[in-house]
Amino acid sequence: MVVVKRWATEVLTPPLVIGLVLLVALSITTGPMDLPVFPSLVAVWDGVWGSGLSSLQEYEYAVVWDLRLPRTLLALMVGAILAQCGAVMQGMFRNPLADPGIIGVSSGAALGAAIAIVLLPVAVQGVATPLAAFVGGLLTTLFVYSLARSGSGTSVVVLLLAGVAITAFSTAMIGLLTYLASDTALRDLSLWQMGSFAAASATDLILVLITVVVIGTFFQRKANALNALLLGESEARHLGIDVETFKRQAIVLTAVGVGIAVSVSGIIGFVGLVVPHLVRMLVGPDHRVLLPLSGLIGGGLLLLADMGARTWMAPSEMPVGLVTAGLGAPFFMVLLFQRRKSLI
Amino acid sequence: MKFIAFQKPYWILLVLITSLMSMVANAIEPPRIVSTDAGATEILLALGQGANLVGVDVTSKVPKPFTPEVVGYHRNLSAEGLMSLRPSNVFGSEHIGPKEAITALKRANTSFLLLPSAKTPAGLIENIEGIASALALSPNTLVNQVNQRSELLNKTLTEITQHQNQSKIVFLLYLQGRGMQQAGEGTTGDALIKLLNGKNLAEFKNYRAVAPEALLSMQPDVILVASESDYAPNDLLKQHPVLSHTPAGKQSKILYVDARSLVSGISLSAMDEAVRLTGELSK
Repeated sequence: MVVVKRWATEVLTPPLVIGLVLLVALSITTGPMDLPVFPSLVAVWDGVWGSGLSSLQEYEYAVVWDLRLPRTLLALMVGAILAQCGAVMQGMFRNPLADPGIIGVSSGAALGAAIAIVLLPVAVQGVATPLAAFVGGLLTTLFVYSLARSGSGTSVVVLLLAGVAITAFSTAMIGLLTYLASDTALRDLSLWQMGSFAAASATDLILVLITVVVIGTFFQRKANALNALLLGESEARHLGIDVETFKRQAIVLTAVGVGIAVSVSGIIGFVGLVVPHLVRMLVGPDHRVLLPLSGLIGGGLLLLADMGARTWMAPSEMPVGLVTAGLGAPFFMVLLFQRRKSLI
Repeated sequence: MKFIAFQKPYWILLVLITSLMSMVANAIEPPRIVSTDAGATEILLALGQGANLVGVDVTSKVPKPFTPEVVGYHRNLSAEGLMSLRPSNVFGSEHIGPKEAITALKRANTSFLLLPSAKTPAGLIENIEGIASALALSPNTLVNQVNQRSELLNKTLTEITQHQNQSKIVFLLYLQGRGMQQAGEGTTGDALIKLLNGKNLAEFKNYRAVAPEALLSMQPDVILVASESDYAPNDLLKQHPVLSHTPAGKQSKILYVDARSLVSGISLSAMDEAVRLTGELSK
């Protein structure tokens, strides 16, 4: 048997946290505009404490505060939500293929957004698209969940298969809508599906902050239940865990969390799937450690991806979803290749 | 020996002159222009502003030696990316976005001129005048040019209509091997048909896929095939020989339209294309 090297959490956490702080500082000081590094960081301090220490001009200050800081925070929090929801879905389904989209939330949200972009007038789309995405995600999930529920509990197999089926159905409906769409709507729709943090507003940030706090606390409290579920559903039940209630709560919370993430940033693939695997390889499957570290690393990686998205093709901008999938998938394959023996 | 410059009156004069010179320099500092619309870019180039273009969108075609940066798709602009070009003027269509990028640029004192996509020569002239006045240039030469082409167009069209009725026209967007889309109301294809004084046979809005059989039943006098390659009409006929039985096919009025000239409504290049087409129609 191959012994997989695992890291102790106490060893791993400090460098990760320091790394994240450095990444945030880097994200605030890089961009297509050449701003001096130190004054940019001081500008953040100025904004918080109302001091006037930074030598930045007003419009440069606006770049830091209105453009770089919101998207930095949004990327961090959306990454944390997606990675944590991914970890929970994989734990609950005891399936390494599970990602937050498996219960139909991403495809439902995409369908909702497509309906809003193609069928509603442009004037209301700013509000309607995120709202429709959220409602679409939630409705599909509830539908999938109600399909899988019967008198004897919730069938994980039916849940997974129903998720796949609803994804196929949503894809067909989106196909129909693209067929009907005008040129502009078509372009908007495809851009939306590739994800972006460019439109981060204050409302988005508050909404996502609340989500990340609620989800983080709840999942952390249920880490033991998730650990017990790794043994199997009946074993978990014997350990005194109300499996049905937990499943329902986890599914609803994931749907709400991913729904909000998708509605503020569009579809960002691969974070929810890869990050939990990555963390599991580092620290093992204990959810008490897996969940917070997934949040940390998910946020960091998404922030890194967004930094790439806004600088690589400057002065134009790449959709961040392309970066996460384009870099995430090959990286994941290399990781699988290296670890293939220990995964059998 | 006394230094003249340090005597007070001369000193003040010197300061005055240098400050005056710097004011003049500021005033004649060339604008830094970003254009996010192919039509606006054409107008700017025609107004001789090529050297002042610092950024254009992906649809704009800019000839050598000008080398503006490409700022991406006009509905998905990067706020910081645009700001890094330090533009003084941004010209674009009314669909420019996202609004966060526009707000940020407005805070950095960039002046915006958002133009509706022109559907008629009159609309084109309005856009030319708008751009010219934003840059304090004279639009007259260019406006005259458009008017001349408009007149030329109308003259040929009147000659054509003298010995035949208003043409029934179909405008197709030819997607190599992947079918064709017919232009309905509100499209640039529709605007081109109107410019050619024809009747658009489509009775819907936007573009829709159309089958060759449906085209045959419409009996169009002219079929305009928009594509990036002028082999498109031949390809189309080879793929759907049935189209040779339409009035357009019989009179060899299945005509190629350069799709690139129609990216942003009735633009300068669309006017040229229309003039070329009337030549073909009068044959």
